[in-house]
Amino acid sequence: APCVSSGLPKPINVTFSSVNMKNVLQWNSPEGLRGTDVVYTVQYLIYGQKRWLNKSECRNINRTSCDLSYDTYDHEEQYYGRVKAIWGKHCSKWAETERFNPWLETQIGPPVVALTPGEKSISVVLTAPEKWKRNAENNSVSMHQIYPTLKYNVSIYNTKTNKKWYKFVTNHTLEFPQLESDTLYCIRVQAYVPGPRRKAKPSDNQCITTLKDQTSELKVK
Amino acid sequence: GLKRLHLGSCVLSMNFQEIRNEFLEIKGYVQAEDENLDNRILKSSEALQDIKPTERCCFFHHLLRFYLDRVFKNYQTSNYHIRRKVSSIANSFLGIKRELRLCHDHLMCHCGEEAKEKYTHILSHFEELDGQKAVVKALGELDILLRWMERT
Repeated sequence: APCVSSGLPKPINVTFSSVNMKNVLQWNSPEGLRGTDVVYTVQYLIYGQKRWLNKSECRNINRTSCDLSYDTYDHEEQYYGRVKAIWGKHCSKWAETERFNPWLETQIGPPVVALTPGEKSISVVLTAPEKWKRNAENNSVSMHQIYPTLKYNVSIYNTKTNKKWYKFVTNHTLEFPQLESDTLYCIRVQAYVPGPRRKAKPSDNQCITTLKDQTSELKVK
Repeated sequence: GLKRLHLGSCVLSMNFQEIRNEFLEIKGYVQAEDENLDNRILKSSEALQDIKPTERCCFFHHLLRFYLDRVFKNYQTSNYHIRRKVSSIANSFLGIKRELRLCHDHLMCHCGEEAKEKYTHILSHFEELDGQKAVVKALGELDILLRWMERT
Protein backbone atom coordinates (compact mmCIF):
# COMPACT_ATOMS: atom_id res chain seq x y z
CA ALA A 1 0.00 0.00 0.00
CA PRO A 2 1.34 3.44 -0.81
CA CYS A 3 2.85 5.23 2.12
CA VAL A 4 1.29 8.28 3.72
CA SER A 5 3.18 11.48 3.06
CA SER A 6 3.54 12.68 6.62
CA GLY A 7 5.97 14.93 8.44
CA LEU A 8 8.82 12.46 8.02
CA PRO A 9 11.97 14.48 7.37
CA LYS A 10 13.41 14.32 3.86
CA PRO A 11 16.82 12.79 3.02
CA ILE A 12 19.51 15.49 2.84
CA ASN A 13 22.48 16.36 0.60
CA VAL A 14 21.07 14.55 -2.42
CA THR A 15 23.73 14.74 -5.13
CA PHE A 16 25.22 12.86 -8.05
CA SER A 17 28.71 11.50 -7.60
CA SER A 18 30.20 10.92 -11.03
CA VAL A 19 33.54 9.51 -12.19
CA ASN A 20 34.07 8.70 -15.90
CA MET A 21 30.28 8.96 -16.32
CA LYS A 22 29.54 6.36 -13.67
CA ASN A 23 26.76 8.39 -12.11
CA VAL A 24 25.70 7.44 -8.57
CA LEU A 25 22.94 9.21 -6.69
CA GLN A 26 23.86 9.58 -3.01
CA TRP A 27 22.28 11.17 0.04
CA ASN A 28 22.39 11.35 3.79
CA SER A 29 19.68 9.93 5.99
CA PRO A 30 17.36 12.56 7.40
CA GLU A 31 17.98 14.08 10.78
CA GLY A 32 16.51 12.02 13.58
CA LEU A 33 16.07 8.83 11.57
CA ARG A 34 19.63 7.60 11.66
CA GLY A 35 19.94 4.05 12.95
CA THR A 36 16.25 3.30 12.47
CA ASP A 37 14.96 0.87 9.82
CA VAL A 38 14.14 3.66 7.39
CA VAL A 39 14.22 2.70 3.69
CA TYR A 40 14.42 4.80 0.55
CA THR A 41 12.92 4.92 -2.93
CA VAL A 42 14.56 6.63 -5.89
CA GLN A 43 13.27 8.21 -9.10
CA TYR A 44 15.02 10.09 -11.89
CA LEU A 45 13.98 12.52 -14.61
CA ILE A 46 15.52 13.33 -17.97
CA TYR A 47 15.36 17.10 -18.08
CA GLY A 48 12.59 18.24 -20.43
CA GLN A 49 10.70 14.94 -20.37
CA LYS A 50 7.30 14.63 -18.85
CA ARG A 51 7.54 11.88 -16.23
CA TRP A 52 9.72 10.94 -13.32
CA LEU A 53 10.84 7.34 -13.79
CA ASN A 54 11.15 4.69 -11.09
CA LYS A 55 14.46 2.98 -10.52
CA SER A 56 13.23 -0.49 -9.64
CA GLU A 57 16.57 -1.63 -8.20
CA CYS A 58 16.36 1.25 -5.74
CA ARG A 59 12.87 0.76 -4.33
CA ASN A 60 12.67 0.35 -0.53
CA ILE A 61 16.45 0.07 -0.13
CA ASN A 62 18.25 0.74 3.15
CA ARG A 63 21.54 1.95 1.65
CA THR A 64 22.00 5.66 0.90
CA SER A 65 23.17 5.45 -2.70
CA CYS A 66 21.77 4.27 -6.02
CA ASP A 67 23.70 3.69 -9.24
CA LEU A 68 21.89 5.54 -12.04
CA SER A 69 24.68 5.16 -14.60
CA TYR A 70 22.54 3.03 -16.92
CA ASP A 71 19.69 5.51 -16.85
CA THR A 72 21.88 8.59 -17.30
CA TYR A 73 24.13 7.07 -19.97
CA ASP A 74 23.55 9.76 -22.61
CA HIS A 75 26.02 12.35 -21.39
CA GLU A 76 24.57 15.02 -23.69
CA GLU A 77 21.29 15.00 -21.76
CA GLN A 78 20.70 16.48 -18.32
CA TYR A 79 19.04 14.80 -15.36
CA TYR A 80 17.48 15.11 -11.95
CA GLY A 81 17.44 12.47 -9.24
CA ARG A 82 15.16 12.40 -6.23
CA VAL A 83 14.72 10.17 -3.17
CA LYS A 84 12.21 9.87 -0.37
CA ALA A 85 12.43 8.19 3.04
CA ILE A 86 9.90 5.55 4.06
CA TRP A 87 9.40 4.41 7.64
CA GLY A 88 6.61 1.93 8.19
CA LYS A 89 3.49 3.50 6.65
CA HIS A 90 4.94 7.01 6.62
CA CYS A 91 7.05 8.63 3.94
CA SER A 92 8.78 11.94 3.49
CA LYS A 93 8.45 14.38 0.64
CA TRP A 94 10.88 13.97 -2.26
CA ALA A 95 14.35 15.44 -1.92
CA GLU A 96 15.80 16.43 -5.30
CA THR A 97 19.23 17.02 -6.80
CA GLU A 98 20.22 20.10 -8.74
CA ARG A 99 20.15 19.68 -12.52
CA PHE A 100 22.94 17.22 -13.30
CA ASN A 101 24.96 17.68 -16.50
CA PRO A 102 27.24 14.61 -16.85
CA TRP A 103 29.36 16.11 -19.60
CA LEU A 104 30.07 19.19 -17.49
CA GLU A 105 30.30 17.60 -14.08
CA THR A 106 31.78 14.12 -14.30
CA GLN A 107 35.15 13.67 -12.62
CA ILE A 108 37.93 12.36 -14.86
CA GLY A 109 39.42 9.18 -13.46
CA PRO A 110 43.15 8.34 -13.59
CA PRO A 111 44.71 6.93 -16.79
CA VAL A 112 46.40 3.52 -16.93
CA VAL A 113 50.13 4.12 -16.50
CA ALA A 114 52.86 1.78 -17.89
CA LEU A 115 56.47 2.50 -16.95
CA THR A 116 59.65 1.18 -18.59
CA PRO A 117 62.96 1.95 -16.91
CA GLY A 118 66.19 2.72 -18.76
CA GLU A 119 69.62 3.38 -17.27
CA LYS A 120 69.07 7.13 -17.03
CA SER A 121 65.47 7.43 -18.19
CA ILE A 122 61.93 6.23 -17.63
CA SER A 123 59.42 5.85 -20.48
CA VAL A 124 55.78 6.39 -19.63
CA VAL A 125 52.83 5.13 -21.70
CA LEU A 126 49.39 6.44 -20.73
CA THR A 127 45.99 4.99 -21.63
CA ALA A 128 43.07 7.35 -21.22
CA PRO A 129 40.35 6.29 -18.77
CA GLU A 130 37.22 4.76 -20.25
CA LYS A 131 33.64 5.91 -19.99
CA TRP A 132 31.48 3.68 -17.77
CA LYS A 133 30.05 0.83 -19.89
CA ARG A 134 26.51 -0.50 -19.82
CA ASN A 135 27.70 -4.02 -20.61
CA ALA A 136 31.15 -5.52 -20.38
CA GLU A 137 30.88 -6.65 -24.03
CA ASN A 138 30.10 -3.17 -25.33
CA ASN A 139 32.84 -1.31 -27.14
CA SER A 140 34.83 0.93 -24.88
CA VAL A 141 34.49 4.69 -25.27
CA SER A 142 37.62 6.50 -24.24
CA MET A 143 37.18 9.68 -22.21
CA HIS A 144 39.60 11.15 -24.76
CA GLN A 145 36.92 10.76 -27.44
CA ILE A 146 34.45 12.66 -25.27
CA TYR A 147 37.01 15.31 -24.26
CA PRO A 148 39.41 15.84 -27.18
CA THR A 149 41.32 18.43 -25.10
CA LEU A 150 42.09 15.86 -22.37
CA LYS A 151 45.58 16.44 -20.96
CA TYR A 152 47.84 14.79 -18.39
CA ASN A 153 49.74 16.23 -15.47
CA VAL A 154 52.61 13.78 -14.89
CA SER A 155 54.66 14.20 -11.71
CA ILE A 156 57.92 12.33 -10.98
CA TYR A 157 59.61 12.13 -7.60
CA ASN A 158 63.23 11.06 -6.90
CA THR A 159 63.03 9.11 -3.62
CA LYS A 160 66.78 9.67 -3.00
CA THR A 161 66.87 13.43 -3.39
CA ASN A 162 63.16 14.12 -2.66
CA LYS A 163 63.17 16.23 -5.80
CA LYS A 164 59.82 16.38 -7.65
CA TRP A 165 58.94 17.87 -11.03
CA TYR A 166 56.06 17.87 -13.48
CA LYS A 167 55.27 17.56 -17.16
CA PHE A 168 51.99 18.60 -18.78
CA VAL A 169 51.37 16.52 -21.91
CA THR A 170 48.61 15.78 -24.36
CA ASN A 171 50.03 12.72 -26.11
CA HIS A 172 50.09 9.30 -24.56
CA THR A 173 53.82 8.59 -24.49
CA LEU A 174 56.57 10.56 -22.85
CA GLU A 175 60.02 10.02 -21.44
CA PHE A 176 61.84 11.40 -18.44
CA PRO A 177 65.51 11.62 -19.52
CA GLN A 178 68.62 12.62 -17.54
CA LEU A 179 67.71 10.57 -14.46
CA GLU A 180 70.07 8.89 -12.03
CA SER A 181 70.76 5.21 -12.60
CA ASP A 182 69.83 2.59 -10.01
CA THR A 183 67.43 5.01 -8.31
CA LEU A 184 63.83 4.56 -7.22
CA TYR A 185 61.46 7.06 -8.83
CA CYS A 186 57.71 7.41 -8.16
CA ILE A 187 55.31 8.68 -10.82
CA ARG A 188 51.73 9.89 -10.47
CA VAL A 189 49.46 10.98 -13.33
CA GLN A 190 46.28 13.04 -13.33
CA ALA A 191 44.07 13.34 -16.41
CA TYR A 192 42.27 16.64 -16.68
CA VAL A 193 40.21 18.68 -19.12
CA PRO A 194 41.08 22.39 -19.35
CA GLY A 195 38.00 24.42 -18.62
CA PRO A 196 35.40 24.48 -15.92
CA ARG A 197 36.53 23.44 -12.48
CA ARG A 198 36.18 19.73 -13.20
CA LYS A 199 37.52 17.50 -10.49
CA ALA A 200 40.06 14.82 -11.45
CA LYS A 201 41.35 11.78 -9.61
CA PRO A 202 45.12 11.26 -9.78
CA SER A 203 46.53 7.77 -10.31
CA ASP A 204 48.16 5.98 -7.42
CA ASN A 205 51.89 6.47 -7.04
CA GLN A 206 53.78 3.97 -9.21
CA CYS A 207 57.45 3.47 -8.35
CA ILE A 208 60.23 1.94 -10.42
CA THR A 209 64.01 1.73 -10.20
CA THR A 210 66.19 2.86 -13.09
CA LEU A 211 68.69 0.27 -14.34
CA LYS A 212 72.23 -0.01 -13.01
CA ASP A 213 74.83 1.98 -14.98
CA GLN A 214 76.34 -0.73 -17.28
CA THR A 215 79.61 1.20 -17.92
CA SER A 216 80.56 1.38 -14.23
CA GLU A 217 79.65 -2.30 -13.90
CA LEU A 218 82.10 -3.20 -16.70
CA LYS A 219 84.93 -1.16 -15.09
CA VAL A 220 84.45 -3.06 -11.83
CA LYS A 221 84.91 -6.43 -13.50
CA GLY B 1 40.82 29.36 -23.85
CA LEU B 2 39.93 30.51 -27.41
CA LYS B 3 38.05 27.93 -29.45
CA ARG B 4 36.73 28.01 -33.01
CA LEU B 5 33.05 27.98 -33.81
CA HIS B 6 32.43 26.46 -37.24
CA LEU B 7 29.27 27.88 -38.81
CA GLY B 8 29.64 26.70 -42.39
CA SER B 9 32.12 28.99 -44.13
CA CYS B 10 31.89 31.43 -41.23
CA VAL B 11 34.41 30.59 -38.53
CA LEU B 12 34.46 32.57 -35.29
CA SER B 13 36.80 32.28 -32.35
CA MET B 14 35.44 32.75 -28.89
CA ASN B 15 36.40 32.18 -25.28
CA PHE B 16 34.16 29.26 -24.34
CA GLN B 17 35.95 28.70 -21.07
CA GLU B 18 35.34 32.22 -19.81
CA ILE B 19 31.63 32.16 -20.67
CA ARG B 20 31.23 28.66 -19.26
CA ASN B 21 32.99 29.59 -16.00
CA GLU B 22 30.67 32.61 -15.65
CA PHE B 23 27.66 30.39 -16.27
CA LEU B 24 28.85 27.82 -13.73
CA GLU B 25 28.73 30.55 -11.10
CA ILE B 26 25.02 31.15 -11.71
CA LYS B 27 23.96 27.63 -12.84
CA GLY B 28 22.78 26.35 -9.46
CA TYR B 29 20.89 29.55 -8.66
CA VAL B 30 19.19 30.02 -12.03
CA GLN B 31 18.34 26.35 -12.64
CA ALA B 32 16.85 26.14 -9.13
CA GLU B 33 14.50 28.98 -10.12
CA ASP B 34 13.22 26.86 -13.02
CA GLU B 35 10.39 24.74 -11.66
CA ASN B 36 9.20 23.40 -15.00
CA LEU B 37 11.48 20.39 -15.30
CA ASP B 38 9.22 18.65 -17.75
CA ASN B 39 9.87 20.88 -20.69
CA ARG B 40 12.84 22.35 -22.41
CA ILE B 41 13.44 25.26 -24.79
CA LEU B 42 16.66 24.12 -26.51
CA LYS B 43 15.65 20.61 -27.53
CA SER B 44 18.03 18.12 -29.14
CA SER B 45 15.82 18.10 -32.25
CA GLU B 46 16.88 21.69 -32.91
CA ALA B 47 20.57 21.29 -32.05
CA LEU B 48 22.86 23.78 -33.77
CA GLN B 49 25.43 21.17 -34.75
CA ASP B 50 22.82 19.10 -36.60
CA ILE B 51 21.71 21.91 -38.91
CA LYS B 52 23.22 21.85 -42.35
CA PRO B 53 26.46 23.87 -42.30
CA THR B 54 25.29 26.43 -44.85
CA GLU B 55 22.46 27.55 -42.56
CA ARG B 56 24.29 27.31 -39.23
CA CYS B 57 25.43 30.91 -39.24
CA CYS B 58 21.90 32.23 -39.75
CA PHE B 59 20.45 29.92 -37.09
CA PHE B 60 23.17 30.92 -34.64
CA HIS B 61 22.53 34.59 -35.42
CA HIS B 62 18.88 34.04 -34.49
CA LEU B 63 19.90 32.31 -31.25
CA LEU B 64 22.27 35.15 -30.33
CA ARG B 65 19.60 37.79 -30.92
CA PHE B 66 17.09 35.65 -28.97
CA TYR B 67 19.38 35.51 -25.93
CA LEU B 68 20.36 39.17 -26.15
CA ASP B 69 16.89 40.61 -26.78
CA ARG B 70 14.56 38.18 -25.01
CA VAL B 71 16.58 36.54 -22.25
CA PHE B 72 19.47 38.60 -20.84
CA LYS B 73 17.52 41.86 -21.22
CA ASN B 74 14.46 40.53 -19.39
CA TYR B 75 16.03 38.46 -16.65
CA GLN B 76 15.14 39.90 -13.24
CA THR B 77 16.80 39.07 -9.95
CA SER B 78 17.42 40.85 -6.70
CA ASN B 79 20.77 39.08 -6.42
CA TYR B 80 23.46 41.59 -7.40
CA HIS B 81 26.16 38.95 -8.00
CA ILE B 82 23.90 36.98 -10.35
CA ARG B 83 22.88 40.14 -12.18
CA ARG B 84 26.54 41.09 -12.72
CA LYS B 85 27.37 37.63 -14.06
CA VAL B 86 24.41 37.67 -16.46
CA SER B 87 25.43 41.05 -17.85
CA SER B 88 29.01 39.82 -18.24
CA ILE B 89 27.78 36.84 -20.26
CA ALA B 90 25.57 39.20 -22.27
CA ASN B 91 28.60 41.34 -23.10
CA SER B 92 30.44 38.24 -24.32
CA PHE B 93 27.46 37.43 -26.56
CA LEU B 94 27.52 41.00 -27.90
CA GLY B 95 31.16 40.52 -28.82
CA ILE B 96 30.31 37.31 -30.67
CA LYS B 97 27.45 39.10 -32.46
CA ARG B 98 29.86 41.82 -33.64
CA GLU B 99 32.18 39.15 -35.05
CA LEU B 100 29.24 37.46 -36.72
CA ARG B 101 28.46 40.73 -38.54
CA LEU B 102 31.65 40.21 -40.58
CA CYS B 103 30.33 36.90 -41.83
CA HIS B 104 26.99 38.58 -42.57
CA ASP B 105 28.73 41.28 -44.58
CA HIS B 106 30.61 38.64 -46.57
CA LEU B 107 27.37 36.84 -47.39
CA MET B 108 28.30 33.75 -45.38
CA CYS B 109 25.13 33.82 -43.32
CA HIS B 110 22.50 32.45 -45.67
CA CYS B 111 19.04 31.99 -44.10
CA GLY B 112 17.15 29.04 -45.49
CA GLU B 113 14.04 27.10 -44.54
CA GLU B 114 15.75 24.83 -42.03
CA ALA B 115 17.20 27.65 -39.96
CA LYS B 116 13.91 29.54 -40.00
CA GLU B 117 11.88 26.45 -39.07
CA LYS B 118 14.13 25.35 -36.23
CA TYR B 119 14.32 28.83 -34.77
CA THR B 120 10.51 29.04 -34.92
CA HIS B 121 10.31 25.80 -32.91
CA ILE B 122 12.61 27.21 -30.26
CA LEU B 123 10.58 30.39 -30.06
CA SER B 124 7.38 28.41 -29.65
CA HIS B 125 8.89 26.35 -26.81
CA PHE B 126 9.88 29.66 -25.20
CA GLU B 127 6.47 31.24 -25.68
CA GLU B 128 4.67 28.22 -24.23
CA LEU B 129 5.85 29.45 -20.86
CA ASP B 130 4.92 32.84 -19.62
CA GLY B 131 7.16 35.78 -18.94
CA GLN B 132 9.86 35.36 -16.38
CA LYS B 133 9.44 31.55 -16.25
CA ALA B 134 10.48 31.32 -19.89
CA VAL B 135 13.37 33.74 -19.37
CA VAL B 136 14.64 31.76 -16.36
CA LYS B 137 14.41 28.46 -18.25
CA ALA B 138 16.28 29.82 -21.28
CA LEU B 139 18.98 31.26 -19.06
CA GLY B 140 19.33 27.94 -17.23
CA GLU B 141 19.84 26.21 -20.57
CA LEU B 142 22.90 28.24 -21.52
CA ASP B 143 25.07 25.17 -20.90
CA ILE B 144 23.07 23.37 -23.58
CA LEU B 145 23.71 26.23 -26.03
CA LEU B 146 27.41 26.35 -25.17
CA ARG B 147 27.66 22.60 -25.72
CA TRP B 148 25.94 22.95 -29.13
CA MET B 149 28.39 25.68 -30.08
CA GLU B 150 31.32 23.53 -29.02
CA ARG B 151 30.11 20.59 -31.07
CA THR B 152 29.86 22.51 -34.35
